[in-house]
Amino acid sequence: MAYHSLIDRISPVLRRPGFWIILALMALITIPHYNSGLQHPAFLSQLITDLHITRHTFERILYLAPIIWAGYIFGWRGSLFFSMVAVACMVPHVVIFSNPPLQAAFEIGAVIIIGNVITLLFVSMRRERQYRTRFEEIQQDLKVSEERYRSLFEQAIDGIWIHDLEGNFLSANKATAKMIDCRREDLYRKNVKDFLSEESLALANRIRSRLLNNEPVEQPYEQRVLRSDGSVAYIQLATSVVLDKGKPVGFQHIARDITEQKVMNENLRFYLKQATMAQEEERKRISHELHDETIQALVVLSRQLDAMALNDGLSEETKRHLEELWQQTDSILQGVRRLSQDLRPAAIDRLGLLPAVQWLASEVTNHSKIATKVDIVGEEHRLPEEVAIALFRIIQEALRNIWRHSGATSAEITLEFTMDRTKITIHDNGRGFVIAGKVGELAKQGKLGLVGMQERAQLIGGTISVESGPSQGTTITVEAPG
Amino acid sequence: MGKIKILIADDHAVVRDGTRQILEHEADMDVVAEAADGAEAIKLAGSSKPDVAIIDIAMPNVDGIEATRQIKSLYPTIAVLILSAYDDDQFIFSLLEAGAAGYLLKSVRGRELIDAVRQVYAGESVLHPAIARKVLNRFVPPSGKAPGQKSAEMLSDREIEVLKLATRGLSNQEIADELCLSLRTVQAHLGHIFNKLQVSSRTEAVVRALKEGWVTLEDIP
Repeated sequence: MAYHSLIDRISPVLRRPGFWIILALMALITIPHYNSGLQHPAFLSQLITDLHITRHTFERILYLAPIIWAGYIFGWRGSLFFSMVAVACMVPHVVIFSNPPLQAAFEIGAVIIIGNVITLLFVSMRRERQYRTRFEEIQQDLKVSEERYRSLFEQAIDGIWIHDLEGNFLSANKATAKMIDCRREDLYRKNVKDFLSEESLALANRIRSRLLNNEPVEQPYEQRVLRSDGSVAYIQLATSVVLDKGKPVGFQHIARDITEQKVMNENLRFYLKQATMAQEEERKRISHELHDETIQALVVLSRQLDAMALNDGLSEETKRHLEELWQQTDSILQGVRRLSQDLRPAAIDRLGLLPAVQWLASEVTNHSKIATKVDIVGEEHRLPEEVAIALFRIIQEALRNIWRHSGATSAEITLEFTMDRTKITIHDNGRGFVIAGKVGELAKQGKLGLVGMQERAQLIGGTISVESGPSQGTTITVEAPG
Repeated sequence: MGKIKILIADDHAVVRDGTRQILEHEADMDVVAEAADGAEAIKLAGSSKPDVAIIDIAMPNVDGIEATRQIKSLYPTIAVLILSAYDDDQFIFSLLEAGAAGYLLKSVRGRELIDAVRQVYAGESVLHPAIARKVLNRFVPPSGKAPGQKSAEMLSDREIEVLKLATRGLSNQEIADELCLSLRTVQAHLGHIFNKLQVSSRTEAVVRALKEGWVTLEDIP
């Protein structure tokens, strides 16, 4: 491995022409060094004479050239390598030509040292030049990125602001100013407290302390903001800690104004509430109409048929015919009664939620193979009509889901009454399902029944939760005031 | 023997008329009052002193359930027969709890209605055995309550026996045969039971017995 890596490192050097040129230069110096018969060019001989040095000394000095050159091209490793080559070329000369050894050693040493020192100078100069260029590049990059951030910060549709640990504004963009309806110049003299209600401030403090303690925070979250003009804005925001040398110095927030969306949602919910109420009202009206008018009329009709059949002097055939008519009337009557019950069970208006749920459970038990049981905890009390009907519809929908999809063999409905709350649990032993992360996604999955239940629960100020998993059955829990 | 005095309460005049016509054909029956709602029924129950009150459930002002409850508490001797278009068990249960002696659907044939009036007047039960069974299931006392405790002070062993057989839906004659007693003795026992329990019909007595736990599931075949 080491062998290979050495080859790998050296081979690119061997491929460079400079290496071979320097080696050739080395040879060019070495040949006259060992052959005294070869004469140096005239100008060099003159130079040697003028400098009062021997030819050997001059030739040794010449070795500086390849060493420095190598240093220039290959750095200190190159100069060290060629220094060794130079030493290898020079030492035999000292022995062969029996130069004064001390002087020779001194000269060789000087050549090597000077050559390498010059190389080092080269290297360090080059490195410094590189550093300077790089620094300038980085500075340029930083400037660009700073400008980019600035423009992003300024142009952002979302409000972005930074405040210190005490909540004093340090920086805020245009969108922030617009969002809380406050001029930016004024903003820097203000504290976030000025824009938060007590409740909102408590939430903000809670989130900040969680962030500082590195605890998980669900982001983005919603916050209620008091604008300068006194109106309320709803924002959705994400918060992060601003660090300086690893120490927290403030918080950065990115927020979006969702007031309009919120108002729209509220309108939608209001509309939904109205529509649901209207639907219930309509069902109630039709159901009562069927009971009060149609059924009564059928009762009268059936009695008249019954009375007629009792008359003496009727033929057997007429009597049989009247009996058939009575049977038909009775079956129409039962059909209308069922329709009226399906629209709105009379029990919920006359007896309350529990009997209505008991009726529902017995219907499910009779018509499906699901043994449905109703348990009651606490003392039943009458609930406001809209609460009772909403809870009834939720249970009805839950049982419908169990019947249609769960494959369950038993279901259990528990009604828990406390002073001011009603809690209902619907559990089945069916196959269950994988719950989507958010209720909003249920609609996409085609679980519209659950969405409807959720809506009904919200309409009466209640909550609903679903627990399920493959082959675990499903438990739906509804809690409502009343 | 005087005529059976009857009060009819129904908010539908046509239905009310129909009911009255059916009953007035009978020589031993007399419709003494007609009410169009629950409140009027309670008032007339006091003024015209009927023996039997035939009451509808769905009525304006005071509904049939509340009217039954009030009539039974004000005039315990009036036997209430419910004549309703609803057929849910839940109504039957609450009306029996309110003190009704019988429960019939409005679409019942005239003959059956007449029989039912005579039966509740005689203090007998007008409950279909299937309904009686459901009623029992509902009134089974919460476990842990010692049954028979209160009855021991109130009813004699013989009376309990009669009551158990009544719970099974047996007629007076059948009870007499079962216990080797005369019809008169059985009637006398039932009279004592009604007095002691302060009820006016077998249905009420049975409901009480079930609620108190004097009669249990094993007593009904």
